[in-house]
Amino acid sequence: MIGLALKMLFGDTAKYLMLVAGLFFATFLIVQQASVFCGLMRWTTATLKNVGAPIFVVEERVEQVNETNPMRDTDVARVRSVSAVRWAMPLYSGIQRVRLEDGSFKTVQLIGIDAASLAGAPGRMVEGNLEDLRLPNTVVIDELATVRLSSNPKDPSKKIKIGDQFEINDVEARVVGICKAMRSFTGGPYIWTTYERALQYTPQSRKMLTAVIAAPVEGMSSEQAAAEIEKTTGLRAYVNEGFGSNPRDGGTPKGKKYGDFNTSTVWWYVKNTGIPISFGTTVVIGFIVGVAIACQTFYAFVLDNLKHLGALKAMGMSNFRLSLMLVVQALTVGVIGFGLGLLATSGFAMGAIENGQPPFYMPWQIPVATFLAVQLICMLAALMGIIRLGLYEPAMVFRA
Amino acid sequence: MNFLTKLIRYGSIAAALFGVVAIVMVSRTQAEREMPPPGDPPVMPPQKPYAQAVAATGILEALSENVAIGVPLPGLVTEVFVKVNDLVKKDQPLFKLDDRDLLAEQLSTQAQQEISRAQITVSEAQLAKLESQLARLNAVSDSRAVSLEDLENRKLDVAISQAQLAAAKAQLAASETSLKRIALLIERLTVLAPRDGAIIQLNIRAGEYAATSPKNPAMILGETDRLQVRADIDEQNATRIREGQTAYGYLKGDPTVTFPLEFIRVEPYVIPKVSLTGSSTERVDTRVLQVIYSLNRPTDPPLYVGQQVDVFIEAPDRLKKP
Amino acid sequence: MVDVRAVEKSFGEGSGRLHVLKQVNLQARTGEITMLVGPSGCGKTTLLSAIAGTLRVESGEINVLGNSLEKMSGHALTRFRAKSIGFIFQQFNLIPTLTVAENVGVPLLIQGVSSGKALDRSREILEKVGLGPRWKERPNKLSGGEQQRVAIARALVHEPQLVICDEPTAALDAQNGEVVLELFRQVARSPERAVIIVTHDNRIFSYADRIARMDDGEIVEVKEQLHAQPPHFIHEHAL
Repeated sequence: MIGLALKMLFGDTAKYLMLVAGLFFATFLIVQQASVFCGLMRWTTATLKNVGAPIFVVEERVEQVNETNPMRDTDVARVRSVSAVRWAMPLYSGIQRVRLEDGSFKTVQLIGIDAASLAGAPGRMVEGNLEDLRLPNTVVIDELATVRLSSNPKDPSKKIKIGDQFEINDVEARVVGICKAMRSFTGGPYIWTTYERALQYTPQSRKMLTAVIAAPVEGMSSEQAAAEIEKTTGLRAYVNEGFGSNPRDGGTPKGKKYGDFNTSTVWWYVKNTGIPISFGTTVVIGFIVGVAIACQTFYAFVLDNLKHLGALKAMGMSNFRLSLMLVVQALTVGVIGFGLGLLATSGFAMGAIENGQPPFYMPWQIPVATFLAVQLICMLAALMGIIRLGLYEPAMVFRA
Repeated sequence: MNFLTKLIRYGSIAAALFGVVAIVMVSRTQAEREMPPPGDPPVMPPQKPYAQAVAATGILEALSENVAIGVPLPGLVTEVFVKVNDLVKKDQPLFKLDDRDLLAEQLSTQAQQEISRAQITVSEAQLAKLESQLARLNAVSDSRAVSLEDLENRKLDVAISQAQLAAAKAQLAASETSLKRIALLIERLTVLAPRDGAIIQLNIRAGEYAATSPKNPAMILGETDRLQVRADIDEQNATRIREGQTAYGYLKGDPTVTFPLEFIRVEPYVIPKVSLTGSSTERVDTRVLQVIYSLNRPTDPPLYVGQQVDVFIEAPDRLKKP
Repeated sequence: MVDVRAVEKSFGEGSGRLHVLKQVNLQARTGEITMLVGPSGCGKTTLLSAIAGTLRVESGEINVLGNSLEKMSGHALTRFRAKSIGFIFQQFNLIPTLTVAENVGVPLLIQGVSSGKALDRSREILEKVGLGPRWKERPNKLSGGEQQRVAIARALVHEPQLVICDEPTAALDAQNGEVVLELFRQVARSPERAVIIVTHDNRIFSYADRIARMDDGEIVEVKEQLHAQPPHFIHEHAL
């Protein structure tokens, strides 16, 4: 029976290709657009990924990591005084301008970390030594900066190397290390230096402390520690565990906010920018186009075969088995179209990951959800066929 | 069934399978490029010595505070007797200011003294002459030989001469006192150590002009065997501080250097915090309670006065509000 | 043995109601070819559908091979059709994406026979209708007459006791029609099998053992033809 269904499906190459193409486009559109969207949203949390600290303590009204509302220097000591905190260090994060040798300006994301512990230092060094950051006027830059800050970005020999110099707000900075880092949403490369030096690079203002990064004591979860910090200091403590639900979500004392900084940041962008709407629309349109093409083609396929299916029905094939045949056919094109869509997405993804541009991040949920969506499309198409076939009286086969 | 149909049929199945494999590969590559999850920093920050503690930043000072040695008068420094790190006893001379103007005055006063002495001699001689003349007149018994008026005149002359001698003596005494005063003034220009201690900072050198500004002491005298830590506690945590709480210090920059601290006192006046980050402009953010702790100066590694210290003070958590 | 008694059937509602079958009685015996003839619209196809079990009637009894169709459930009826009835349609209704042999094997597949066995059986029967060597081809490569021979093979492959033919020659030219029907008579006629053919093609009336003439929903005449012998062109054209 399944063999009969598949032979009927594959027998008509043109219709088969139409069906597969519809699902292929639907899959590609959904997976690719959703992944680019996820990638873009992840870029907004780049600082959280690049500064690997379990807890971020910020001013109480701060909702997302790229928004800074500086705190007082003594807040580090206050956070440190909370029993649930194992260590707490100051962090500076801000967008600054770099002046290159040729006089042109580029914006960068400047990160200032504690010089002694180097808490918040980049996780993966490519070249150079992180400890050299304690030398005077030194910075560690990310791989993007080696190109972005070079005088001629197209010439690989002009890349910024260890030992090269540039100026941040007219203060000299010498490169002592190159690291891997995630791109920021603003497109600027990441530059690490010590907290004290970051303050020198930055125009003076009354309060300079962007955040306090902290870790919970052993045997305590980050969530518990963050709750403890909020209760004791009145500051806002976020955990840094990645986008997703969090035990504290919804139940935070400050009303409906999120306990995870990634989640909170992403939601901030969802609520305050048009990005999710535009991408969401594309994903939805991809889905609708997929549904339309797939259902329409499949329905046309069923209609074309109606005479034969009717004959089968007259010859004593039960409705159940006919439905099963349609389901098998729909599932088959669904799986193949999905696979082809994934192939195209992989091609796109490889290029995107290699270049770091455009943003691409595909959590496993996307292909799984897309698979389910595509199968849903197919089931819908099959259902339409089944309904149409159910309305077809076997006696009609005699009225040719 | 022709070749093309077969190609499309099996080709599409193979491509679909490959697509699934490829997306798994993409997922792997993506995971490889992921930033490592948050963890501990490269150098572990100081571990809290107590379960419940108040953290503060502090600065190392010499015990019983550092003495900023002042200058009595603005003036040129002629000589500095000590070097940095020298241990000095109480009253040991530290440096000397230019005293030539006083020396000059001393010379002229000495000359004045000689003049006064000569004046006394002259007055004494004069008195002796007048006294002998008066004696001779008194020896004449015949009252007609000596007029009464003459005799009275002689007596007055002697009295005048006696007064002149007394004046000359007073003059001498005055110039002697003046000399003593000048000597004292000269002595003041040599600054002595007010107490035992070590020279921990020296800001003047011979030939420099020393001013009397309180901001720039000529030198700082301190005790370096025992140090003290002045810990700044955020006023929000001030209520958790009690007298006698134990504490641990961690040297900023090297958290492996730790030392126990002994409580000395709580400064009763809460002051605006002066940022310790070394910035030229003071950032007065908040007020801090200062608590003073003492410690023995460890030999290895050496500690220096003025270094920043992270302090953890054992203090119970704020009482939970009902 | 097919026995139709007092069958009534109408379509539509109210004033547009069309009485298609009016008290129809008909018998078709095994071992015979029964033809149902009449002008178009006389209800002969409806009657055929009712006998085939693809259409329910309003009243009367239809007894096919000892089974009372109106008493059978839909499911049982479906299974009965699959097992006991062979179908030949006017438009052949071969599935274009299957090969000739696969098409012939479909009734066996419906009954749950494995595809290998079904294919073997199909090729046997294709030999009988003279298309043995062409079993691998697609139906659209075949001429109309050949396609109808495939359809005949399909109708007989599962040895049904009743074969239903709806205008088997309507889509064929005269010559092909006669060839096909002659062949059909040779392979389909068997003592255990009843054959019912609906047609208005008077050239093939001579192949019937019994002709039932219908008009306006009623059987107007039943005529038996003894020793109906066709002309002898089977040997000249069909094989």
